[in-house]
Amino acid sequence: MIESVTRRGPRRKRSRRGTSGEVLVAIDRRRRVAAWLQLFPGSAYFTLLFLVPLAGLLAMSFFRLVDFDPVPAFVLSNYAEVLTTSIHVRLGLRTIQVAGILTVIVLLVSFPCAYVLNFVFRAKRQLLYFLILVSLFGGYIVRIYAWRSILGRQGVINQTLIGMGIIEEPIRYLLNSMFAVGASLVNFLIPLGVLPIYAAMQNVSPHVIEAARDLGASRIRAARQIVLPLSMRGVRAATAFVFIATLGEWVTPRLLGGTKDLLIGNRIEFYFGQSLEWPQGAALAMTLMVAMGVFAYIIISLMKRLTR
Amino acid sequence: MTDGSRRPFQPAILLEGVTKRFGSVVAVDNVTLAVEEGEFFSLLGPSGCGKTTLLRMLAGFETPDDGSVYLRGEDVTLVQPNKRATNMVFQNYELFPHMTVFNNVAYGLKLKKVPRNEIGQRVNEMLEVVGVGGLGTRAADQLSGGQQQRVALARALINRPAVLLLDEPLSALDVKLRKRMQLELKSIQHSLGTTFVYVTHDQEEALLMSDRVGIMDHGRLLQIGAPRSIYEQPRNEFVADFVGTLNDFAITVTRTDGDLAVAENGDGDRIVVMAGHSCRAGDTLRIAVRPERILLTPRAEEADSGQPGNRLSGRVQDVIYMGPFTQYLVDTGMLGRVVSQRVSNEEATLITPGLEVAVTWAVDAAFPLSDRDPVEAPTT
Repeated sequence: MIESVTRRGPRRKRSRRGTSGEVLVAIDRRRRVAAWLQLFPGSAYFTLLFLVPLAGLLAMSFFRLVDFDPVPAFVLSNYAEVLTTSIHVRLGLRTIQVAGILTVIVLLVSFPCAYVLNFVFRAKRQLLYFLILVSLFGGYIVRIYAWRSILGRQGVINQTLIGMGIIEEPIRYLLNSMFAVGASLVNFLIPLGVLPIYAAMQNVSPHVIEAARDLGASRIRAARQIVLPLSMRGVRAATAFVFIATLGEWVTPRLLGGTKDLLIGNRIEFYFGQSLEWPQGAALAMTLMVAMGVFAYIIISLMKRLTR
Repeated sequence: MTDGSRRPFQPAILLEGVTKRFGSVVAVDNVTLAVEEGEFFSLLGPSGCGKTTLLRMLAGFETPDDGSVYLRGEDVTLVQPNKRATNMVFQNYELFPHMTVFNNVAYGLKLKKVPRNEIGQRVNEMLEVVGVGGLGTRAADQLSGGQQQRVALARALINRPAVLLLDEPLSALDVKLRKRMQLELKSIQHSLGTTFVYVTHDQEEALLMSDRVGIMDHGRLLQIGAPRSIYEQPRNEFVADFVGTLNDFAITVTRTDGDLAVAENGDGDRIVVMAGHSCRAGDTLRIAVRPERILLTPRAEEADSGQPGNRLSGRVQDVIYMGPFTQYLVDTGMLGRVVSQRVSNEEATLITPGLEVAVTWAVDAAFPLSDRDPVEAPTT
């Protein structure tokens, strides 16, 4: 697709004077048609299963609730409710804060991890890359219950500490805490951070690092001044992945967090699943989506400016 | 970097019994070598001979399994590359693509915390020296191959290294540009007086640029010497064959005459070799003669066949025109195919395929060949 677009320029120019110009235009047209055909399955999937439901959600956010039944209408009261309810603002700010902290932690772990994978274990990197992917195979709920069994009262950590005689009573705040939510999410998000950064590092020659070392840079300095800017595209993608995934999170806080550790996603789930105020939930979801877009844009353009 | 105990007349580089293995492969095998200050030293050999590994051990990217590396008398065998007074020009330049030309060249100086105004001055000077003055603000990934090469050279040289290491720096350039850069590199080296260690597989390049050349094969340093001695007195068959083309003959001695061994076949063909007193009739000798030392005379014009020198009769099989030179493949009865190379002048056009010729060469043009065994490597 991109190739056909970039090649079109010079082809056209040549076609104007060459005798085979018409043939080239025909080839050009066929290539464009082929590009659209190649896009079709993906775009059809995206339209039917994402854009159409999203449009439904958008419509729903303007509906009126009559006896727990959303009735088609065009009212702005749902949005007014979103912005004036203090719990939304508080949950929203906390969610952004948590997402920000988790993003920083995940990037700090993912970048060295991708670096080591790509430059240190170069010969075995495919295998190690696969092992990182495997951690994604485990599944969402399995991961959460795994963390429950690690952090719970009868969990691995408490049992070990008691067995060693360091504590007498199990530590309660391991589970049902922000710590549990964060630990589990970091575990889940690291592959999402490593993948794009690792992919971007494929384009960085190991000899460029050697060139920096040769000119007097320590390993860490070379990683920071040479590898980081050259793989910034991947770091930006990782940031967006991790930040957005955390903003939409609600299952992990529900199962691992305490009553005070809920995120904005839990509130949306509350409207849809418990109070059955669907239009209200739709308005909150739409607001969150717009906010996510704005945040992603701000962060990515900030990072762009920082690396220039 | 250099300690107070540095003695005068230390070689810039001293390698002592350096060996490097990768798994079961011995990449560099017990190499001992000294390179003098200000010298242009080339490591020449086929790909996979260990020359690049040797260079990387000088830079600090590889650590020898055995032996020691000294830089100006200081043992740097285990010193990290960023702590060594060497700088390297890489085969594919490896400029920092996200930086301007100026920042690429300034990188080493910034790390050394050189004052800003001094950096500006030195970078611009160095860009002039290598012939890319005025390109400082250009992005490094917007340069031609030749320009990248020059910037890579400037980026290394600006740190005033004790030794500049160059890993086939010209191999990615086209022939014309390569020839020009060879001369420019040589003149830059001469004017700065920096010690250069230059890795190449191009024998012509090594001969024309270097003060001394070291020939490597299978990790071993086979011979070290000035270009002329490498070319004219190769110590063994590999060196002789790798540096230039070669006529390689085995002859059976029929009689001796003092130091001279003579082989005759009774048809008027005669080969005379300086062989020394130990040679006896019946011995087999292996000798080699460079193609450009072999003369061809049309048989019809042959003046006097009664001379005591080398003389073979043969018939021209093929004439290969190579521009400045022309090569003749001559089939001789006594030695099989002999290659002769002459300047492409008027006379050269007279020799055509099928012509009966007399093949001659001066007695001292031939040198004896030993087997591929490496010789002990002396330092001069």
